[in-house]
Amino acid sequence: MSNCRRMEVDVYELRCPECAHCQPYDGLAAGVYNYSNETLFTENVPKGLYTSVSKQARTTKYGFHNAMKEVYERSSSTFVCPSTFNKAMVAYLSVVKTNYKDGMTCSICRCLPAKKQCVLFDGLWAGVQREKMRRPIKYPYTDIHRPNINVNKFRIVQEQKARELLKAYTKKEGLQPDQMKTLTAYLSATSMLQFFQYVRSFEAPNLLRCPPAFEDFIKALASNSNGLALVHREARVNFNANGASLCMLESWITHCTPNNPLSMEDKDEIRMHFPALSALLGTCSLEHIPVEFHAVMVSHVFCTEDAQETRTKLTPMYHMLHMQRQILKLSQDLENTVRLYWELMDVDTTYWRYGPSFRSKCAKLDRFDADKHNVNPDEDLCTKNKESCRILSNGEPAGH
Amino acid sequence: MVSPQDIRKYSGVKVMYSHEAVCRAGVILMHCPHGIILDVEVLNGAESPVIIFNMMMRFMTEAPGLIIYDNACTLMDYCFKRAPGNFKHTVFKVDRFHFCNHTACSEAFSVEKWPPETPVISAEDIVHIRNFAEKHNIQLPATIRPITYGDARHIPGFEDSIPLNTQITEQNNSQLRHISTPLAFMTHENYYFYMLYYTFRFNVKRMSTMFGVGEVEMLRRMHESAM
Repeated sequence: MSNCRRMEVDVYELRCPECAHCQPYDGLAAGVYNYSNETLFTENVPKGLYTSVSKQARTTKYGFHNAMKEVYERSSSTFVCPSTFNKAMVAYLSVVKTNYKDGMTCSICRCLPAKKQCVLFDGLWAGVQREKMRRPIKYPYTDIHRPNINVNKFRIVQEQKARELLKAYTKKEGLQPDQMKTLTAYLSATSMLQFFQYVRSFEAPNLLRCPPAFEDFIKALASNSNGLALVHREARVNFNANGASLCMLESWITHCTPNNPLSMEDKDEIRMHFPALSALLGTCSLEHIPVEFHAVMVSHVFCTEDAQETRTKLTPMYHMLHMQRQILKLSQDLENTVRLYWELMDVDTTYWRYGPSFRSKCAKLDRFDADKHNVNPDEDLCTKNKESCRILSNGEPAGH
Repeated sequence: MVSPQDIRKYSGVKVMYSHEAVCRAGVILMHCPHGIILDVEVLNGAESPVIIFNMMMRFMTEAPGLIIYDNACTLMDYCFKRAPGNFKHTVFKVDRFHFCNHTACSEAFSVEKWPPETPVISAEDIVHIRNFAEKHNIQLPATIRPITYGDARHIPGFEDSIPLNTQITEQNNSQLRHISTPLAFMTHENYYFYMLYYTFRFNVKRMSTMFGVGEVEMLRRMHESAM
């Protein structure tokens, strides 16, 4: 202990402007990169690395570390070990503020209409190891057409009380009537996409119940035999519609409001091509159908293996739905309904990012398969407890 | 020569071979004719038209007017069978380097068989680009030149044009190939972040050339717009 010495250190922290959480001091504003409160780098080091990688041929991180180490040793000072350097440089990518959206957009071509744009495709061999493949890839930026699914819980559900209620609701702890009323009021004011994002974090898709906002629509769906026949995959009728009527139908479903109605001719054409769906939507108020659910509905009508036109606008839903196989599960069967029809709402036709061929070939990816199957939350809890017990019994974390 | 199957069959020695490759296939990149990388898709198997189709369906609200791909003939079949309404205005072309392999395909897939003055970005489009950028406050390079299928600079009215570089994807890939070695040893998340950051820096370099400013200045502009 004689070698120990006491040092005075300054601890810096940042307050998040949106919430009251403390953030670690990254130091980028002062030209310093703070890696996990362990090592401080001047920002020239990661910048120099990535500049050299982008300009010079085949610069590896290990090679750059050797060069930096030699520079430091000339001035009789030490440099970090390669593993720390590697981790720090990778972590820098998540800290540095980059505008990926503008950076991956051509300022000239974005001003052209889509029909006049030109795109070129080509493949590049840059493989990642099979064992390390995990989950569908998320984009580091958020776009209105392609929202990022993995969002922090406190950003989705900003009120702590609502978060507690949702947690109790999904874990079957039981809610008082007034609590249920509060939760219902909250759900009615929340986007369903955000709600599913939130519930997904609990990994309890089996416990998810049909939200109250959907019940009217589902009742209407169940009472209309034409609609059920249309939704049913085997009894698909009138699929001879052309692209124009498909587009018209999409616009009708998504944009039809009292202020912006379609013309009578367009409605007649939709009725002619899609009589069952037209009748179905006429039975329920459009205000009761959340916007995100339109995509599900349209996808069931049109998204088969040989028709993928409508998937253009369904990307957020498919990102979400392949995680949550059974979205709509009722707590109890409604009147005049059969369970088969509810199972039809399961939208697990394909993984969106990984096609069915990939799934069949890669059966060994356990982490990836865990997303496919419904995970029992109790089992997860048990495994977490075992890990924690093992850490306590050994005295050291298992990874060390 | 004795094959591994023979060894296994006759000698009883168990020969272990991996049935699948250790690494996944790679990525598919979507470029614009100016060389900017617009989208990156990680491949999980062989490169196929399905990937291209899905990329376009996800990335673009409408199908583009011109698609250049080395397997464009199959891609055209795939797109027209799946989404004929979306691709009814789209022209499919094979790039110049790979067209010699398409011996059984129509010559309509070739870029060179068409008149060289066929516009990709015409002068009228540039006027539209300028107006759109002014309206939406988008910064544009000082000079924007029209792009044609071939070299049409000898034709009156097209002296300022530049030919479409169908090899821009291959040229970019030759630079992106530098990072394939470190990428092969990364985890999935690191792989994706590294790939994206590299393509971002690559685009910044390309944009700095387009705008005639230094790369550091371009990075600073990007940083300001991200704030």
